[in-house]
Amino acid sequence: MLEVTNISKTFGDFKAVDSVSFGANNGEITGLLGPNGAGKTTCLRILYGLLKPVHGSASIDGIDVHQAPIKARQSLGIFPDQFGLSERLTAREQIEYFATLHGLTGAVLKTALDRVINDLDMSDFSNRRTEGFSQGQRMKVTLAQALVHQPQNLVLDEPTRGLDVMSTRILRQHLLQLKAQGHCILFSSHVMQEVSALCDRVIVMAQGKVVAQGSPQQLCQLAGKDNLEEAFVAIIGSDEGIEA
Amino acid sequence: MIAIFHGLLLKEFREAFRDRRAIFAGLFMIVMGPILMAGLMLFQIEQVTEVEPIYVEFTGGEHAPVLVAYLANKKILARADMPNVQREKWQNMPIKLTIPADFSDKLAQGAGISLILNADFSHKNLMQPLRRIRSTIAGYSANIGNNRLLMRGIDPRIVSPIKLNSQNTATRESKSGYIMGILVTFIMVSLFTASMTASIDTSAGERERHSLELILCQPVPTSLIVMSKVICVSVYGALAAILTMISMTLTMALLPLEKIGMSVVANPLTMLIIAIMILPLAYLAGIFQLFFAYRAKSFKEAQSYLSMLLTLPMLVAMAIALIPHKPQWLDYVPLAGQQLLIESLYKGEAVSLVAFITTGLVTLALAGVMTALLAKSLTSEKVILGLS
Repeated sequence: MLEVTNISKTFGDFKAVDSVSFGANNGEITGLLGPNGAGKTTCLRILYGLLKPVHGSASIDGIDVHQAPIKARQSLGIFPDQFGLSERLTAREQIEYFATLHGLTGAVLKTALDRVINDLDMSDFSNRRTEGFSQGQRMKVTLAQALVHQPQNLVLDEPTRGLDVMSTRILRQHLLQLKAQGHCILFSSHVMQEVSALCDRVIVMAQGKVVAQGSPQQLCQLAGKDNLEEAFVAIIGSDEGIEA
Repeated sequence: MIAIFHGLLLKEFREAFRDRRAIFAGLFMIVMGPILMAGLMLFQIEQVTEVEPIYVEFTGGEHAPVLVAYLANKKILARADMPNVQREKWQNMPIKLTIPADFSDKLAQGAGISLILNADFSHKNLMQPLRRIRSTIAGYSANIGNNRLLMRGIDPRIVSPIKLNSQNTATRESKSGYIMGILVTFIMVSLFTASMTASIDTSAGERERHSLELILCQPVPTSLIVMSKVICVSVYGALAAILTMISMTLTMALLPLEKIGMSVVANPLTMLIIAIMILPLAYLAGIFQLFFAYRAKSFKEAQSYLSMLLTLPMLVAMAIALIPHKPQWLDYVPLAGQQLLIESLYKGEAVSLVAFITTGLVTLALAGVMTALLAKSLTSEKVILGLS
């Protein structure tokens, strides 16, 4: 379970995030939707404990990320917007690195690696160095390194950027599977279709504020439109920065 | 915590020792150092041990064939016999020696003879040849004079009552001072070049690959991350520097340095002590380079910062060579202190244990402070915001 309560963040005179509150529940996929520059990344960085909010707080499974960042991050898996894979490590070594950062060792580590490699169907390339991997293979390695320690919470930051259709489908299937297992998934995006296809609840951000939240249907009703894209444009008041 | 640190270290070592660029940088000085040094030394040995021929234009040489033969014996030869290869070198440096026609008559009469040596005495390259010509002729003259005295039953010492004997206290080892300077500089440069590529790759390189933010989001204190990186980079630098030191010391031991009156202490104990001194220095060099590489946004930017840093060991070596009276505190300054100590060890001089320990501790303390600063800076918002 992820929760941010009334957080604000300013950079100089610029208010990047202004009194934002939202939560993401277990067994649900929550979408964080907003145009570029809406404050999504700043919100996530506050949630990770990298940035300190001017006021307000963020917690992971009820643990405050600023009071106990190390403990809070232990139940968090992150799928970043750019796959920073190390080309001189094999896929397995790359995943192993993140597993050890979460304290896995010995037999537990080996079992976890075997499991995640098997789950994501990566055994035919897991012992190859990541240099020259396709986007799909890179996506799998990145997802595996986020999931290897079986975190209760998974945050994805613009996950489908640059992915082909097949990789996007695979990613979606895995997210739905994780949701069914009761995990909490927070999904930041500016791609409409993705959000409407996947999310149980959507939080719409614009200019550093939460402008609406609810299920895709509720948002449509709220804006009086019949699809989410129209609703989104109506809610944020412009179609700037929206990718169809 | 230990398991996490082990995981961090394993990843750093895997990456660094699979990095061809970094390995090449590490090997460069290990291989090139001895080759450059051997070339330099062999050239030096040849210069000092071989007597260069001097070519003189004799006027009236036929009047004093014995003198000319004596000079030729001392490699002072007639310009007419000059081989073509020497022609270019001597073209702009004419030396003329004029022997008067009445040379043998005057010699027979015991009268004074004047020879004329004509050359540009301010010419830098002629100073040594001219000195040799003068001393050779003076020696020849003194020889004749002594023989004349002996034939008259007089001890030749009567005309030179005082003889000055010089005693040179320089040992073979201490004479090799400037070579030691070069040797030590090579080791230091090796230390910095080897850890440079590795440190850039693991800091600015990681940032450029967009891995850094994700790593900072993991449940690991930044101090552990920095420590794993600095250990890996330092091991890299220390390995390269120690191997360079061993390969160069052994090369020096094989060269016929005694021909130029020098020698190097190259026993295993000296090498072990030097290796121990390299270790804290490797830590300092590693953290120094990481510290600045983290300030850069890209691999290239970091490279330009660190290549400036690379001149540091050379500047320190130059400063040490140029300062005429070294102040005492220089012994305790990291880098300078080690350079002085290593030079002394190679020269076989007694080394102060206090200086040895103090330099090591000062180096470690400075490196420790920088490690803490870097770990702290990685939690700052400025660094995080610089990520995207």
